[in-house]
Amino acid sequence: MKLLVPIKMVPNPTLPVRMSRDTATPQKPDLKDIPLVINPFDENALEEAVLLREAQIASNVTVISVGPDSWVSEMRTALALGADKAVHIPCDKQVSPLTIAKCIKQFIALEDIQLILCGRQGVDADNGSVGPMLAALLGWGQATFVSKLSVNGNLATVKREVDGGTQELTLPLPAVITTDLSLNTPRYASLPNIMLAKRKPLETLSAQKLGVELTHELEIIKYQTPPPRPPTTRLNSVAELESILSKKGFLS
Amino acid sequence: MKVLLVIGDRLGEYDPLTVNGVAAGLHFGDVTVLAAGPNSQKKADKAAQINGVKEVLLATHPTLQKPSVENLAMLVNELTPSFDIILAVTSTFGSDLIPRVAALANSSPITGVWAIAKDHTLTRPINAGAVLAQLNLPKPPVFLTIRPTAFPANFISNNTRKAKITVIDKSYECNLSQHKTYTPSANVRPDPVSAKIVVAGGGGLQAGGSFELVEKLADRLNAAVGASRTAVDMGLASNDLQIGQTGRCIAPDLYIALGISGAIQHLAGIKDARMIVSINSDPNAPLHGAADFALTADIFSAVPELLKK
Repeated sequence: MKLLVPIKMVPNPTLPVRMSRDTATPQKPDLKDIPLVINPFDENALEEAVLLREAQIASNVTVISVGPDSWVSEMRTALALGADKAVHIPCDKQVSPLTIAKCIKQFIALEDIQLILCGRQGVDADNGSVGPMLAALLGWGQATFVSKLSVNGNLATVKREVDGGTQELTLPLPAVITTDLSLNTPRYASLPNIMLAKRKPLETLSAQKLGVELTHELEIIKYQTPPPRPPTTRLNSVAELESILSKKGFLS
Repeated sequence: MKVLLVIGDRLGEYDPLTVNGVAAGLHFGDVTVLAAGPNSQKKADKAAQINGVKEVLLATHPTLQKPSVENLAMLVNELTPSFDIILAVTSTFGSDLIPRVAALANSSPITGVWAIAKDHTLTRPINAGAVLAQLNLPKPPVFLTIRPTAFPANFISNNTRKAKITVIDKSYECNLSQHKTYTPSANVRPDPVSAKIVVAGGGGLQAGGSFELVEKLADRLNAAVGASRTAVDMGLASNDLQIGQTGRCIAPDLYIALGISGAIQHLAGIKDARMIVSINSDPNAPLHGAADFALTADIFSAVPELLKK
């Protein structure tokens, strides 16, 4: 069974994003000094795929990215984390989730993929769209926000994190699964695996060859910073806090 | 503009955040509601009483009475040509459904919408809320999920005159995902997304080995309980209580953080709270900086002292 893990690179999410200081209009978030990392949810997806291969349920794990050339070094990291092959579809501009889903769908037409594992959302744009969109374009079943997965023959059994609790469902393969952070703990790339990754295949495939036009029908017209919160008042005692909570009517 | 709001589903029951969906939909025009899944009749009856709902579509076929995102997406796709806006709340239900339906219509969804301007320009937070991105409303059909906390429904009273309920009894069967069971979360307190007060705990609770302190204060204030990712990872709180970019976004009148340092991802989920109080022994905790009121104190002595009042 072959697995596919679509991954994207995001500005390191532990570092704060600020707007550019130059007065050029329109103002944009300044990302040039923030190093790129694999989207955290995609790391969970990749880890789960590698675990399935290590358990000999899957035979092969391919990662695929639609993004700029600056993503290639992190695609090597994905290979060091256990993927067998990486496919890069170069794309220099921002494109819509629909475009990304179409690229991946066209790639699947070339390969015999049984299961797609995606992160539930990219932590930069927070769209959370590609997984379900891909399932729709392929006519496959989907399970989003998955925190537990087992695969038995042609059937996946999953636990989903849903509002108010959890849901258990089964999915006939092929299918698309999007991962919650609680699914697993991604491993770190070991030095021998980083060396090994250099010899693993990293292919480039053009969107044009796949017959997909790189478009963005959801162009952002303006970026803004959220309104600032009022300054902090430092309290000296529990009594002070109690008096504020009482005055506001929270404590009776 | 004609709006179709697909009612959410909370473990097979009516989702109280439906009113927020109606509040958002009314920015564009008349709202038609679609009720499907388990208990759809009950969901339809409740939705029909919300002011501003023009009509309720009730899916009654057994293929739509069970939770199945693939079957429901087929029905919504068939309804899409009759509407300009297809809308759901940014819940796990809406986030599962709307991108699927959008792709079926060869469109990209706009998720997590935070504001809708008079000219229908949409605003949504990106980069963990550090940036607000504005987009023009695309050509119909438009597929949206809206942040429930950004669209308060205070003005929507229960209507005594019920909206018309129209039955759709057609079958939609994809034979894809099969629902087995729902397991409700162990949380017996209010839902943090709709609660007026939320008390949340973080890694600072580890020294006590439990979430008891948070729960005690929450019960005293009649509040919901929330948790930081750290607390969830430590096993102190369940995953569905996680507040933040990768958990749930809240906007209560009062948010009290106990022993939460305040990672960027956590702050993203509480930015819309009216008043933020932070109690932490670390005076440099980032959450202290984001709070309206910060008390540098040991939570294990400060909270019991507060509870005595």
